[in-house]
Amino acid sequence: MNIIAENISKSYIKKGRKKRQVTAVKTTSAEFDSGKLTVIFGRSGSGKTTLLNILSGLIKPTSGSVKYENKDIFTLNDGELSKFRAENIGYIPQGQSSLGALTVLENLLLPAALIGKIIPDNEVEEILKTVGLENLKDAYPNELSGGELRRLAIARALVNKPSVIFADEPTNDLDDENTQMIFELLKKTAEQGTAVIAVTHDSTAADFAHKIYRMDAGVLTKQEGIKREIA
Amino acid sequence: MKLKTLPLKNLVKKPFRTGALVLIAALMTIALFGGSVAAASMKNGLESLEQRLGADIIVVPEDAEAKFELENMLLQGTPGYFYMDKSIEEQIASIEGVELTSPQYFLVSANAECCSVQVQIIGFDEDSDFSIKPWLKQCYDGKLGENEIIVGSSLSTKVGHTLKLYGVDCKAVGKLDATGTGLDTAIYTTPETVRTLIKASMEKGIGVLSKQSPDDVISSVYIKVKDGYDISQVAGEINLHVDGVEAVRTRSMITGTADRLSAISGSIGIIKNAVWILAAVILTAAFSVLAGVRRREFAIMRTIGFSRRQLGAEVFSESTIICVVGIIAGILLTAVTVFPFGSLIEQRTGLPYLSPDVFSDIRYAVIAAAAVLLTGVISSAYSAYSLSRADTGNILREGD
Repeated sequence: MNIIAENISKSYIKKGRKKRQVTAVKTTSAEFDSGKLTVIFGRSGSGKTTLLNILSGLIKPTSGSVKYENKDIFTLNDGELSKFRAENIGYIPQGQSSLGALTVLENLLLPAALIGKIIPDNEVEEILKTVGLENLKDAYPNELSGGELRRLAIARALVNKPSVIFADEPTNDLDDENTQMIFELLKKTAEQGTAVIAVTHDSTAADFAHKIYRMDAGVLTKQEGIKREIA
Repeated sequence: MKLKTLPLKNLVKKPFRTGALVLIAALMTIALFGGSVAAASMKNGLESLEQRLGADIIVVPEDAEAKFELENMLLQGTPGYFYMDKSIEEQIASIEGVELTSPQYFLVSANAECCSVQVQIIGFDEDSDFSIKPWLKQCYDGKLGENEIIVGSSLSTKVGHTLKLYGVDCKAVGKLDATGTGLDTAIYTTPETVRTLIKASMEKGIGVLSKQSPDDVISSVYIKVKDGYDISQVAGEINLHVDGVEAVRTRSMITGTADRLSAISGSIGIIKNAVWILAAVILTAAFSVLAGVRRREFAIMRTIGFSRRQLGAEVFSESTIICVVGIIAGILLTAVTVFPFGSLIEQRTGLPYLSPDVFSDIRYAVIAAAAVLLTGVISSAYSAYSLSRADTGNILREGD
């Protein structure tokens, strides 16, 4: 699925002793293609998560539009947009993102349940095997390690076979082995035809990216050249 | 994984949190349902007492204790007896405004003779009676024969069984419905049987009459006033023209009881509403605190594709489950505490107490359940709104 962000920006009022307007994303345009892992690098506070949330339809931009196959997702009402997101978008949030009341298997199947989709057992087993959680499907999130939780979030984002996957700092606080494993998985998913967009400050991601952007103080810039140096 | 099981799974996974909220809902149900049943029971008891007294005026001996004893007998079931000359009935009947008179005869069973406690024996004249017969007919339509009795609902004696009173075998031919008053522990019979029992008591040396013959006395006279006459005025005429008696307006006799019942019902109402408001405030506070604690959980659900409406429904589903479990627990707890102890409440308060019928109980339960459910939904409304409207981006942006 082709995603085009046109002239998007995001400003908000930061509450404190003095209210002040903060521009998290300065007016920018970008295009994201199916079959590619796009990585957006940037420091904390650079606005990359805000950009990811706009692209994924979670927050509305102050200006501009985000089109999926020429359809502006922000013209949809909340119910329509949520349905669209549930059917077409997989989102891997930053940090722990499992629901504590559900087992690994239930967490995995929640997006499918949301759209009334039945995932065959063999596909479920395959996804769990891919992320190395096949022996933990009945465990609860509080029994998992940080790496296992992150892999569960990825598995959950993959379960509906979405057209687009957004990953927000997918390897934050993970060891090298888990970091490699996750980026390999995201790259593999992209190469199977999904548009994968990840924001991170982990330079390892550059080794797996097909396309790289850099975000600095709300400004998005496309990067060309030797990957590691860019990161 | 089924989406509709998510609220239940969320609740089960947090047993202490859920348990505390269920407890609040249960307490609210107990207060509303139990309070309504208790207040209705007292109101029923008073109405039942008024109905069963059935007379406009009751005349008792002018003895200072007699009126007090009669009240105790009727309201608390404390047995008592007093007598006056039977010629008094004729004098009363001749007073202008008196339409009907009927004598009654009181006696108390000997200690631990027939029953675990002393019981009141009331003799009434079947020919002239207008106050007892109407409700006696509900359980016995015949004419009471020699040594035949009808027992109050609180006595364990069954129809067909025989009770020994002062050595005389008396056969129970009927059992009355509960009234929630002292009358539930009484035995009803004919004046002849009461006289037989008085004579038997005299033979046993525990006579209640020292000088007079049982054939020459009565205990009280129940009076029905003619239409168009003022009851207070007729009572005043009796007190003026008949020596040695006190005519009491039935309604004035139960005014004190009615006042006490009104005060207690008022207190129950205040407690009921206070618990309701307090529980609603606690529930609102608890749901609001939870809204803060669960912000990230709901933001994650939003990233998966839950709409705001679905998130709100999730909160309402959880609060509904909590309330429904609380309501069931509350109704069961009320059923095992308020209903079985009706007679204990009656004894302790000394007030008439008659539980409502099953249909009224169901109605009170349904009203209480609806009130608790509505309170739960309203209490969680802010939480539902706040969680469904939360800025997912803001919550997820932490660490950006």
